[in-house]
Amino acid sequence: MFELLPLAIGFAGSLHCLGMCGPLVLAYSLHVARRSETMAEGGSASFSWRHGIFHHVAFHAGRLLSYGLLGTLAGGFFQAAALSSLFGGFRGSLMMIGGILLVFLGLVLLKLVPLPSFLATLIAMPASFLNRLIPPLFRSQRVGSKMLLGLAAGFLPCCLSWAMIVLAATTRNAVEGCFTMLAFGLGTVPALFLVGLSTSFISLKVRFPGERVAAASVMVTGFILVLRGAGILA
Amino acid sequence: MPESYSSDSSRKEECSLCGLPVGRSGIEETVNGELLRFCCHGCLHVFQILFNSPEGLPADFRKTELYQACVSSGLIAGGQTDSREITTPEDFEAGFARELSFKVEGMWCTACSWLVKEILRRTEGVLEAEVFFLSDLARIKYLPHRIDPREILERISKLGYRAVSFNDLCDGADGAKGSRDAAIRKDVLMRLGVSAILTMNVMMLSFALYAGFFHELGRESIRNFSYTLCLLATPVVFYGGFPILKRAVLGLRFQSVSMDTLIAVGTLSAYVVSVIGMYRGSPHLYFDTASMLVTLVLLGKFIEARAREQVSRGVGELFRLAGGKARLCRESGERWVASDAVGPGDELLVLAGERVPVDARIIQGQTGKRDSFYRLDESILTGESRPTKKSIGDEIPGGALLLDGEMRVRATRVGSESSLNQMISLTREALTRKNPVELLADRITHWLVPAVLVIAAVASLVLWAGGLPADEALLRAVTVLVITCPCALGIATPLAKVAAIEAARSRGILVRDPTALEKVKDLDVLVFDKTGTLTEGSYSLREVVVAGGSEEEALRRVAAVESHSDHFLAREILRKARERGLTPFSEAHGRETMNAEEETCGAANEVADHFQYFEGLGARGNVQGEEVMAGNRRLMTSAGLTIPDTLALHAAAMESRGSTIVFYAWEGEVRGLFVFGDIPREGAREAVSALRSRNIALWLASGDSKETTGTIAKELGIYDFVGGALPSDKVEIIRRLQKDGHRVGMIGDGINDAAALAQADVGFSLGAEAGIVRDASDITLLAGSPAKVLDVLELSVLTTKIIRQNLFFAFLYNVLGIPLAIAGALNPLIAVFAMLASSLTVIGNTLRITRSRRE
Repeated sequence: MFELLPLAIGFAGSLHCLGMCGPLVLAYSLHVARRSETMAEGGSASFSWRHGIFHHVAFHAGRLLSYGLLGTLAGGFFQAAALSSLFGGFRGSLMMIGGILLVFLGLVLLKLVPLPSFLATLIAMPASFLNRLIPPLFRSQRVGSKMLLGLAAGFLPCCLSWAMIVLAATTRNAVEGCFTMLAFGLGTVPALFLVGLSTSFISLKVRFPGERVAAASVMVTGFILVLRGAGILA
Repeated sequence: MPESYSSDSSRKEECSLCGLPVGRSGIEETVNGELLRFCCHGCLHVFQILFNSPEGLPADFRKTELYQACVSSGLIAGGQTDSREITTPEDFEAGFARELSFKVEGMWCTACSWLVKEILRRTEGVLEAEVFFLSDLARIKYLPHRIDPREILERISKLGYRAVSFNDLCDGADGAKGSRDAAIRKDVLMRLGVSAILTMNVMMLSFALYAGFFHELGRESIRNFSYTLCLLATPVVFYGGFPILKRAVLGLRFQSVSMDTLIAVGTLSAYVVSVIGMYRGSPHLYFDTASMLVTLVLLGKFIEARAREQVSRGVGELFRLAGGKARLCRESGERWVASDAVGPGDELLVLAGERVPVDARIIQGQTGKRDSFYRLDESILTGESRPTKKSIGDEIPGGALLLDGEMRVRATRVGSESSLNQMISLTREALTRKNPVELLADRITHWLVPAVLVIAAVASLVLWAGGLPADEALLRAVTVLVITCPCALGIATPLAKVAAIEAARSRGILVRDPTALEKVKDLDVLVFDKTGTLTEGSYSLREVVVAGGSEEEALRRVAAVESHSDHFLAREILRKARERGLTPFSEAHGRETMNAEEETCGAANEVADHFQYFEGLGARGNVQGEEVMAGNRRLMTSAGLTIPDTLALHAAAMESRGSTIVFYAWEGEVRGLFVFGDIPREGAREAVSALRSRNIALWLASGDSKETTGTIAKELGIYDFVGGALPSDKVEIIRRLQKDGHRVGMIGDGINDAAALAQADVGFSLGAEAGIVRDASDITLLAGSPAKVLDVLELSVLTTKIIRQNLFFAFLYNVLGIPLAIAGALNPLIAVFAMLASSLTVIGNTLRITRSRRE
């Protein structure tokens, strides 16, 4: 049951992801639609995903790929660490630390606590690197470019995905970590897929509670982890 | 069309990319000179990716197609961010906003007011909301087509507070409101009573457990004790503590952490630990802590509510007065109407023992006494218990109590212009202003609660990790929670401020700005306006110089003539005559019914016939067949009368000192003259010397000539004076004094002193009788006596002293308590008592303001 949690969090949090990744999707959809529009005989510039379905698939595949990669790395790193005698005894504490981190990230998600500035500067570097890479990917019409875009998007700084990475790390197993992140990514796909279509569904009134639910679930997960690490919960 | 999430004024704080609220993420970036906020770094980076494309920064990213696409698909709430360029439906709607003030009863700490504010702000249709705990007031701006005020009131009532609009407050007999209050109080008292009784039993039993006997008690006995304790404590925690728990839960729902949260967490922790301990058979139980906590908190709130009532009693009375009824006179007869329904010019009837409902002018009636004066008790407005005397033609303020007789009056100022309502709104404004110290205290309290929760949690975790048994660590945490409860801090300043405002009002001093009250004690220079402030008015009858006949005769005859005239000099003559009891008065427009006594007194009805008025010269009339004239030199000479030399010389001398002269004559001879000039007010001299003895420098500034000003200054004992001062000159005087480093107070009558009053550090205005309350002054002395400045001074010194003491006491307990609690030197019970003690100290100290009375 616990394993399905990332999926649920992804689903609930996808409404939040819409805010960030949604514009990205729209951005490349624009280019795709424009192209297909000139090909067809007039018709409105709707972002119908019929025209660019492969692009969308590629985008999401790229995202899932990057998530999976991150999850594998996180889980695998701690798996390796666990093997070494140094970290062996610290199983419980890793979970607890992970849990506390999750709680903290949940608070950041709720915007109750600002992200510490040293973390912000830490991500600024790779982020600006990405900033320079990404724009040409938007305009390219090749499907492969969208996959690259998806890959980059997966690395974008986002507290929710970070929380999931931490969760993956606590599994201390590369495979499990990978699955955690994949599940999360899968949960976020449906909403982003439908970006071009629905309007009222993703209004702020719906998105905001969705984000809150995600943040809450992250915090609850964090608590559970802490309790597990302390041995109170199995 | 995307809808906005929140209808409150924080709409600016939405992420420029995704539109979700920014909260406290603190991520900002300036683009093209515009500050954009983001909810998370992800949004920031996406924004950079999207809009910082290699084509260069778009001049206005909002015009890009991408942005529009995002807006139309609902990702970004475009409406709000474009509000500067495009008129959104929200902006358009806001033009329809209306304001509503209402009373919220049942708030028992500042956190309740935050909660109510949050709820109000999240209600659809409410644009802004402000709630003031101490005055039980709420003020909102709402859209009437979106929400009905009744719904708003209901919403709050559902939470357990009573929301009452001011109109309803005054409906029906006062008993109705009283019984509502009584019902609330009875409920609290009931809970308190039950809790207290049960808690006492709990304490007894717990003492038995503590007292060392548990070593010798078998498991069986321990279990009996425990179950009994649990049985006794449960109703206390859940019935007595129900309001606290409910508010804590509500607060959680609306993310408003409050003192109730602290208490609830503390109580529930103690209770739960005890229940677990009970099952485990441990003798370490803390039911007494939980019960005592609830009981003492209830007690504290009860006492605080009573104190608030005491402190703000007068204000409530004012409100009651404003909502009264009036007896309207029509041709068809008399009718009772609400005071609000009275229009200007309406005729009203007021009987003895009744209050005048609105500002009005007396037109006729019976005084009920021998003389021609109506006696009114204006103490509710001016604080003076001595009755004032008014006559026909005089204006009386709404709220004055007629002591005897009956009178017909014509309403002059009604509704929001009436002096009573102006007083009320000023008082309300003063009560709801927060000075910087209070705002700071508010903010501290707001943050203190979550911080304390965190400290307590961390401390207990650390202690536990350090080896302390879990329940002991938990108990230390509970102690920390309890001792840090900032109840006292929340009321330290506000309660004193309300007490001060009310104490001032009961003395007839209207404080519009509480910070001004605090500044008063630092004043070292006072600038007085002359005319009307320190003096009665420049046209008071100072002297009657007679060449033939007596003063009384002169007054009687001239008064008879002047009774037809509306000139201010004429009125002054009439007034003086009446004061001396010389004429039965009658107004030119009506006839009074004389009673038998006055007939037999033999006072003839002296009203002149053949009245003639000459513009710029004077008046003439026939009194009992003789021609009487009153006027200036030209009138006399034009009638062919010569002025005797002695009189002429006297007149010249007086005029050179700025006085105004009116000659009077009858039977073909000039008989004397009236000298009109400035007389110092009653008590002005004493006030001046009292102020001087406090080392306050005094200045007199006036538009009148230097000679006149100088004369008055000397009479009063003021050394620095300026005559011939224009209003701008007065401002200049004050500014110069301020530049020299003085703190300057200005006392004037508000009309032509407005600028000077505003320039001064504290502006006092002397309220005229039917008080038009001036806007420019911080403090209004309603009684019209400059001696009241001393009262303000004393009050200011006292209030500041008490506020400082309150803050000290409030902090003392908290600051000392935390380290002691963590170190385990305090047990929760002591902490509970200490918390109550700090509240009581603050309350008791503040009541010193309310009890301080002059004489």
